[in-house]
Amino acid sequence: MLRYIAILTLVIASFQAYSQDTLYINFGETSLGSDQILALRFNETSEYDSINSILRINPNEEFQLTIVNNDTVDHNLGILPLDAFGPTIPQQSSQNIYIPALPAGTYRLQSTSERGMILGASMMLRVGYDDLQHFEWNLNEWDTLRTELAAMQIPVDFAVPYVPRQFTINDRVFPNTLEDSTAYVAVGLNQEVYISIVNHGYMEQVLHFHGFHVEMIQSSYHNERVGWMKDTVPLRSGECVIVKLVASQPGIYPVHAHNLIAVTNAGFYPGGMITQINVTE
Amino acid sequence: MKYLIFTFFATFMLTVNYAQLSPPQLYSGMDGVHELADGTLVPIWGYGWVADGEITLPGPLLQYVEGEEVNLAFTNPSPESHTIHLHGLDVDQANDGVPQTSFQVVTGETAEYNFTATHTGTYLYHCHVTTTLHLTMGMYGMILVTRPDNTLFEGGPAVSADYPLLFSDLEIATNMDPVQSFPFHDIRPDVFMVNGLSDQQLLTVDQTVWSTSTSPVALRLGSMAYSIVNCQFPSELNAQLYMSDGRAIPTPVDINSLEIFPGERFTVLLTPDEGYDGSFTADFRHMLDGTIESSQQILVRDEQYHPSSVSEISEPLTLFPNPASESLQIKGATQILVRNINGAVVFNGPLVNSVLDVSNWPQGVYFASSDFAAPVFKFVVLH
Repeated sequence: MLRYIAILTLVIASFQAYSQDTLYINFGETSLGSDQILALRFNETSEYDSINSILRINPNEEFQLTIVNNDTVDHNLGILPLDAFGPTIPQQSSQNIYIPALPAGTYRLQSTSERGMILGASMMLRVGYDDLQHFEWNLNEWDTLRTELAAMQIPVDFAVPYVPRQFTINDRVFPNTLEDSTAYVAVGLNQEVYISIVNHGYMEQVLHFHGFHVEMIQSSYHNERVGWMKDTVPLRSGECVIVKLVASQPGIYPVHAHNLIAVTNAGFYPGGMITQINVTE
Repeated sequence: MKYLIFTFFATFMLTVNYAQLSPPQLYSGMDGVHELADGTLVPIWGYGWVADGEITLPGPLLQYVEGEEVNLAFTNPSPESHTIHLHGLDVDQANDGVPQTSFQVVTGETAEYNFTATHTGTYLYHCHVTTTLHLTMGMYGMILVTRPDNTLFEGGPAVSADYPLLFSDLEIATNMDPVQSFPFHDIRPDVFMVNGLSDQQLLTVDQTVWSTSTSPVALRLGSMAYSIVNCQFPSELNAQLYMSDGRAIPTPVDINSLEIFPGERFTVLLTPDEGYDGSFTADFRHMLDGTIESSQQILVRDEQYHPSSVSEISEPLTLFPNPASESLQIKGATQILVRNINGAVVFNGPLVNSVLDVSNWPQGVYFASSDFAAPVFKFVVLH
């Protein structure tokens, strides 16, 4: 993967054109349950949006992306799990970066700086798997003490116990997750869909599917499990997963974190990482 | 009135082996008591058979045959509503046990869960009302779906016995005072269990996995813990992974270790070397920071050491202090074998006055046992 390190900065003559060719690193505030959290987000415009964007590109095609860093500190970029690390983008400036031709799969594009990681500048980079409807779940958790320190550019003492208060899918907590058309899986009976899941947090997570087993299509830390049928899917910190769901029975079925502190909002159940699969006949 | 009788009998529970007959009706209670390894009695909520009149931690093992049409009756005499979520059985919405999308069983009511046990394997059940709290308090158990010919699945290997091992944990402060347990996000368990038991409670004849020379034994592993459980299998156990989450995996895999995240289940076959007399360990790793919170041991013995021919299981070692900087007091052995984290033997000899001098040892994690085959105990040297 070292080959990716250098080429992120290359500029080549011909790139695949996408409507979304510029991303902005914006700083702002987001409401999660009862908490207001200061955050960094990858957005499609220079206006802060509390939801990280999702970048969807074709497999095996190079892609040039302009990153505009509206933050007050420099950010380094990385594509994980490729361990491809790109250029530093100075504060209040922009830079073109090169996304190498990637095989179909789901990846994470993130700021690898401490401030960027704690404040959530981390987005899904989804490559291909467009033959079926494709849902996307970005998992993260938020320790408000750490986010406050990082927002104020005060060094975080990692010896202090990490105690997240909010747990999100696509930067929303339950029940707001049900308002998100890519987190809430509304499908027809016997429809087959993909779900890409990325754990952007420091914490390990595990999702349990009610009503269904899903086929493991990709699992960046558990590659040996590709092809397994699972109803409970582990996601280590940073892990990128794709599962295939066959909606084989009608009804409404929850999907939720099974580390049960992660199904709370500021400690109160239900909340956090819960969404639903709604199968209609 | 009968509910009051249930409640009366449910006020105290005894530790039982995790293998029970299956009378037809479960009930829920919120007034049980569970004895921890150090003798502490903690309040629990949980499930029990109506016929037994007591709730247990974990709840009774539910056993069904592949293809069985199940009508599971459940009555709730306790003060709060409860449900049974049949974790992994892919039941329909009406029987899913989630209050918001199916139904809950309020105080004094009885309900029935109806489903078909379509796939063999290892499953779980638990209450889905205020799930974080109700699970922490103990409202969970394991389900096995098996075949009459003792094969794991159609075309799969036959096994001589099933050993259900349900990993879980609890935070004593929460169980002692659940009313004051909010907020839930800072729950940090401090008791780590296998079938509701810890430490020396596991080192008994009843909790031992007995292997045979004729066919492998099946470990039915499942986790309701807040931790990730990492099982470490010695090579002499010849562990093979066959199933995950109630489905056969495409190709069986030889394994020396296995991570089990909360809610996952696995079926592992053991074919120990003849005469094996040892153990495997289950480390509980915290999901927030990776800290190894506890290491529990499950004894494995060849059946040639049948309980009737065994006077006693090895007494567990007691090591103090842990971490140690100068010396370690060891009770339960006169001779000690110590390996470092790389498996190298760093000490093998008699103890003098039950003390092991570690003052010049490098900092790190070590594993002590009374001999090569005995259960292993972890300690840390920290200067």
